[in-house]
Amino acid sequence: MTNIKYILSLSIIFLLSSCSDFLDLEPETSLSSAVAFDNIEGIEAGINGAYSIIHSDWVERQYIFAECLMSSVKQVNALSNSNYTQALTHENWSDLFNISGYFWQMSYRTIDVSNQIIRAIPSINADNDQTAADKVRLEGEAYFLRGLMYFGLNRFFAQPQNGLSVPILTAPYQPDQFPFRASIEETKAQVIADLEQAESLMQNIESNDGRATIWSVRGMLARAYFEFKDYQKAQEYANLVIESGRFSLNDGQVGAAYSTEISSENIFTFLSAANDRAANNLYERFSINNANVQLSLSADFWNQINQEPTDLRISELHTDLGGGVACHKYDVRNMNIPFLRLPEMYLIRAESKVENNDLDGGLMDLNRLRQRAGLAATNYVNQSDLLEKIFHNRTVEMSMEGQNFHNLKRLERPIGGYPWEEAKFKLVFFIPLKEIQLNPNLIQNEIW
Amino acid sequence: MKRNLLLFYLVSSVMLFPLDYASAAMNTNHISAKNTSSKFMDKDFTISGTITSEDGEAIFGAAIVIKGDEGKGTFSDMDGSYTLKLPNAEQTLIIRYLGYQSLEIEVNGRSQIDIVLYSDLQTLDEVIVVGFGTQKKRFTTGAISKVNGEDLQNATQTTVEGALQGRVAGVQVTTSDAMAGSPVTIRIRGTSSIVASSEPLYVVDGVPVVSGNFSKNNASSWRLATAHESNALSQLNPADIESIEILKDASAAAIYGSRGANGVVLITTKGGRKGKTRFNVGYQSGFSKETNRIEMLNGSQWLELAKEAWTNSYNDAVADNDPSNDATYDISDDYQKFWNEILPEGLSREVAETTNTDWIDETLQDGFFQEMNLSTSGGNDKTLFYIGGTYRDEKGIFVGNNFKRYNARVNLDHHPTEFLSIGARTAFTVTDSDIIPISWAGGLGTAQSQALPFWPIFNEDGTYFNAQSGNNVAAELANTEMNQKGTSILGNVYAQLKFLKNFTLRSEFGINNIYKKEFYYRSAVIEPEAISTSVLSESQNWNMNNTLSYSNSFGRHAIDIIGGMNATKNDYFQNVINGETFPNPALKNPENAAIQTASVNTTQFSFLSFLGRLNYRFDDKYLLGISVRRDGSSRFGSGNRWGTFPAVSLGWIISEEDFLKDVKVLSFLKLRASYGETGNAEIGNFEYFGAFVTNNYVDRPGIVVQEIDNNSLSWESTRQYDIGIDLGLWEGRIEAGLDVYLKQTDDLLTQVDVSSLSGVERVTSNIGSLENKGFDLSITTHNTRGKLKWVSNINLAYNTNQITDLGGLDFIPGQLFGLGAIGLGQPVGARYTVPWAGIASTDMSLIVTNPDDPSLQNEIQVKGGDELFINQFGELTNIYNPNDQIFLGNPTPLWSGGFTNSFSYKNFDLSILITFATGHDLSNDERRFQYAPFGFGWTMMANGMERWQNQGDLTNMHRVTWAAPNRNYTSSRVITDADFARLKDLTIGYSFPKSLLQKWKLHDFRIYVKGTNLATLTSYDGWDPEYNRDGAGNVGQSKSWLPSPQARSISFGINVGL
Repeated sequence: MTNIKYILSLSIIFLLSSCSDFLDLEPETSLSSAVAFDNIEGIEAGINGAYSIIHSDWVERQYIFAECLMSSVKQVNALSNSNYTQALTHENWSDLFNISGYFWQMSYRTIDVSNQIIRAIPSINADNDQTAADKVRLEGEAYFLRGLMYFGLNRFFAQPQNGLSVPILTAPYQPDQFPFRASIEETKAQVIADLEQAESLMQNIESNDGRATIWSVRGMLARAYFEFKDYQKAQEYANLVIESGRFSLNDGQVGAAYSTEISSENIFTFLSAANDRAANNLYERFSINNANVQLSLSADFWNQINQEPTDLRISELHTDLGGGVACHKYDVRNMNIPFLRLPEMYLIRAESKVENNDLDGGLMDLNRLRQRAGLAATNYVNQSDLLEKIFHNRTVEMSMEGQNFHNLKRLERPIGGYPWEEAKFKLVFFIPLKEIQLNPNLIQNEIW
Repeated sequence: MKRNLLLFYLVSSVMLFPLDYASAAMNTNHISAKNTSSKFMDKDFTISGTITSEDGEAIFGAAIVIKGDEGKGTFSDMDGSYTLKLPNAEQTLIIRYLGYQSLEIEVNGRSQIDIVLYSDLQTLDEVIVVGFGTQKKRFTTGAISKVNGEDLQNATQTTVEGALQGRVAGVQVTTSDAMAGSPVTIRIRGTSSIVASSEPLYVVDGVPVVSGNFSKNNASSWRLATAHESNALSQLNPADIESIEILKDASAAAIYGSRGANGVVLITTKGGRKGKTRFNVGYQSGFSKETNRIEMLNGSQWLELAKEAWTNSYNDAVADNDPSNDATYDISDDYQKFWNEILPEGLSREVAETTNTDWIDETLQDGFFQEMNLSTSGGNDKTLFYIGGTYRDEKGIFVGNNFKRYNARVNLDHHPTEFLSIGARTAFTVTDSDIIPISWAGGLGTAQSQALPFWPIFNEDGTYFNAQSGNNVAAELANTEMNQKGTSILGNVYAQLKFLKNFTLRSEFGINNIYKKEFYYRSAVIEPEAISTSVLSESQNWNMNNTLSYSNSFGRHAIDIIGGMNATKNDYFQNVINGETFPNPALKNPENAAIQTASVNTTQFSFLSFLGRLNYRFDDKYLLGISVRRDGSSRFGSGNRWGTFPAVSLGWIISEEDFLKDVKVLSFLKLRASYGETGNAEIGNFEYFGAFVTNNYVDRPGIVVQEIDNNSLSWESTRQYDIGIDLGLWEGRIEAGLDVYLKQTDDLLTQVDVSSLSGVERVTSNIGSLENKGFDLSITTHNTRGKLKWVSNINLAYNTNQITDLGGLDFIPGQLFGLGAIGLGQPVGARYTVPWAGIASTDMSLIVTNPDDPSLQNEIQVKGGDELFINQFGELTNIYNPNDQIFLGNPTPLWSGGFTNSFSYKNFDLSILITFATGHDLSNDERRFQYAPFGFGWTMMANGMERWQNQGDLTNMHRVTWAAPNRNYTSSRVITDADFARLKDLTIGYSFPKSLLQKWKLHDFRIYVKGTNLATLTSYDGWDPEYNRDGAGNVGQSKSWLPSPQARSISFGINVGL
């Protein structure tokens, strides 16, 4: 009989506990959005979260698809299939969800976080100097990330035919919002505005625990101004970075940047952890250490860069295996990915100087880079000859880093077998179909 | 003592029922067994004789009473004989025996009457389990189907739900494939949701149990995935089951409120029976094989087609005057360039040309299984018990797939006093299964996709060829370990107290805990570095029911009332540890790995409910049922947490009316009508909760948005109307039931795309409505009786499913692997694709409308062998345009059912079950890649040899090419009819005669041979028309991806009872 008492008492205990809060459960492993950004730690975590989004597929995809679109790569084994087939053949590729859609998603997720942080920061209570300083720094980082995202989006989605780039959001998205695509000029202005805002807020941020510093911001400003063909500003920012003395060229050690360390020429680096998708994606695509290597250099591109056999960037970072040419930049698993390197600053400054009619200055920067790659100094015949030499060195230097495609666009050269007049319309991404369907104000890129 | 207990109970009931439900009562059938000890009369007329069954067996214990003086009578003895003294020779005797038709016999002066009793065919007096109680079938007003446990015994299927197939009208059962312990999909009256689960609620002895997938979701790498879900219900042992009741309409299911919209499956396990302790031993073992094998290209066929594809592409390039392309497809030098393209490193042309590997063969084997079960049951007036144990050992038809299960069950009921009963239902299950990758994850999936037939399995040195490619199926299977060990506890204790004559108070508390330990490993032979994952998961689930019921009758009025509450809480915990790079191949545990990562998942949900039900009966003819349940769930935000789910039902037993009483043919006729509302909350936990989750930037702590606030999220609600008729003819020789229903589901829980600008891709919303309508018909006929008994049952269901509202939209695009588009007016899961129109037999030119400017017409050139499509203007074209997509195909059967015939003659029995489903299609999505150009690197089915080659060829197989045109799209070409009828089950048994049994001192002894899936009639050209895509939800379930077959088995079994 005592059993019954236990059973009954047990049920009563349970019943007593089953008052209304019985249903008020909250997840143990996630954070309510209501409180996510109401303290400085939350803001910092949000910035780290944004990095976690972009340090992986965002980097990999924009690198690889840029290379695919300019036909600088080919598939190692014709029998291996991948999304790259479409990008490589320029066929049925630009509506492929995991090319344009995924890149779009990750970019806007990051923009959303940045906007939420920019909105939340003023109401964070700064009760000490450290918090006050952190507020300024983190706001700067949010602007930097937003500028970085619009820069990337503009590169792939801007369509010269209709002059349109991507929708610009500078505040958290509202469900009833149906933004139009901004013009290319507006988008470029937004990139510059965000990066310059970041520059002003991050003045003193010389090191930042693996994230952007003032020099990352200035390096990006150099890259952006250069790509937007403002060579005065580009030269100015590249100069600031080079002359800062914070970075130095890895003379004779051209591969030093591609490792699990952060080499002295890295200006902005995405870190990788063990088993991180970030570097491993690139490793799996490019490295011959991986049995399933998917991509090698195309014959045309190899012929283009393989001009000077003693160039260390050729001899140490590429191997002609007969069937294909391997690139060794991503051979180290779990490596950090150098997103901005000092040599690019030299290339930007060199070309900007030439564009600004300082040919000798340009040649000096070029020869400094050649020296780094074990090459003798060169000379020039005229401006176009010098520009061509800088172009060649840039192409070699940035091989498989996703930048050459955009350089060809800047220079309005033929790309991927298409004359420029065709390439400029053809080699852009579709706006993801989903976005078009959900937002009547978005105009699709006409590609065919 | 009694008084104390009563007081205790009353106090607790006050705590239990803070609401107005306190006066409700439970529906109990008081069967007042009269004390009918035999009384011999001191008169001079004596009658005697024997009572036997229709089979000629003596019946022991049949009651023989005198009509008009039923207190007087006797029972038949062991030999079936009886003697009874009568007041005179002109009496009428009534002979009654449970399970047999009662008989009236006029004595007419005879002193010796031998009586044959026929078994009672009517099932109307059967007691069936309804939610929170039982009812006589005669008086039910809802649509409830019952399956007796004996129909599930000795099933070759591993799982209880699988054994239900074809046995209940309106219940469609699909097993995903032959993998042991596979998930089973059950649809009761159609799919009633888009993204929420459409699986019914399973309640075992009153405890809602965890069902569905219970596997890891967090491995370090997709390469450790199986593409195969587990089935939490595989913990149940079919041998322990007494009966399964399926609540189909809303009036039956509404007592389960927000959990009842997909129907409810009530499983009752066996209890003890009073009398001698019985022992039962059963053993069954059998062999299995795949139901069907598809043929892929062999080595030389693949090479022949590939070379032809290469040549065709060369010729195309020459014809297009495209020098760079014709250089690509250079055919000079004996196709050297072709060979360079296709030969992986380490494979010579000579070896390739002579190799013919059947990769499918590497993944399939002959299966074997055996099952042993032991049970004992019995009891006395105070205590009843059932103890059962089963061991099942199964070697699946897939290489590497094994399944072992150990069950133990103890069911106890104790009645210390007349007014009190207490008891427990407890079961422990241990499972140990080796699973294998399948579908997109490898194994048989790779064998029909990327494993090419001209590759050898081994290199000349005996090592695996191309082991690291992921495509050497044999290397993969030999170097992969995937093991799942499960322990589950399913227990329920109850106490039931009767008081004040008509009241019953019942408290139940149950737990269902599942623990699962999983281990996944891939060795360094097939990976750059060995990787492994260890997972520990635990689901703790408790459930409490407290009900108070009242049952009484006043003259012609009978009333049953029940009120109560139910609370359920589930806590889920999972720990995942991944490891990579090991010091020694013998060390595999992540503990030993150089690189380790770990993750923990937790989640919870709770339900709190109050329920009440009234059943009223007038004159045993007019029936009324009213029920209401109020449910709260943690799955929704506080503003939308509570919902009320009412139901009402009416019944009229027409055959009891005077005007039909004399129609002898009609033994029973009942009309039923019901309306009820139920809900569905089977979405993930916390979907309403705007949340950030951890996502670190290397080792810097970071958060990212996972869900945005979604406070308006609420239940799906289903309104169901049902009209039914139950009919019995010739005293149950024919019994039929027909139900016509309309089931409308509103506020569908749907994943809707939101702009990426919001930071997330999708939110769960209550949008739109859908409708299922149809009918369920079940007819049982006793065709012959006597020595040869032949019983037939046919059950048939017709269902149509249609989305009737999408929140004003007529289309929602889906990006879940491209499976997801849904459209207004379409069934859930229809394929959104471009209609395919065959293969052009000759070169031709066509005029098509310009899609960008419909006022213009374009002339297009079609080559012989091109695929043709129908564009949005209804014109034939060879251009694939995504804008031409329309909805095609029906993913769920219009008609489905089963046809059972059981025969018994003397000691032999035979039963045949045929199941069928028609009016639906499968979308064979993997064929999209099988049909891709050869440069894509997939193999295809052997009918690829029927490709178009010459002008005028009439075929459905395109001209093969190397790279272009890129056929990387899905058209209606991949949709095929999946109608089938199959011989699901055939059993032949022999029971040893009583005479032998007595000699052997056995109670019964039966041997049998059983075949499952012996024959299939279908035009489907893939593996097996019965298919369900694991984890693809309602929208994707009929869109196949590298599917696997079902199993056909033959087994032998023996059951001994003593």
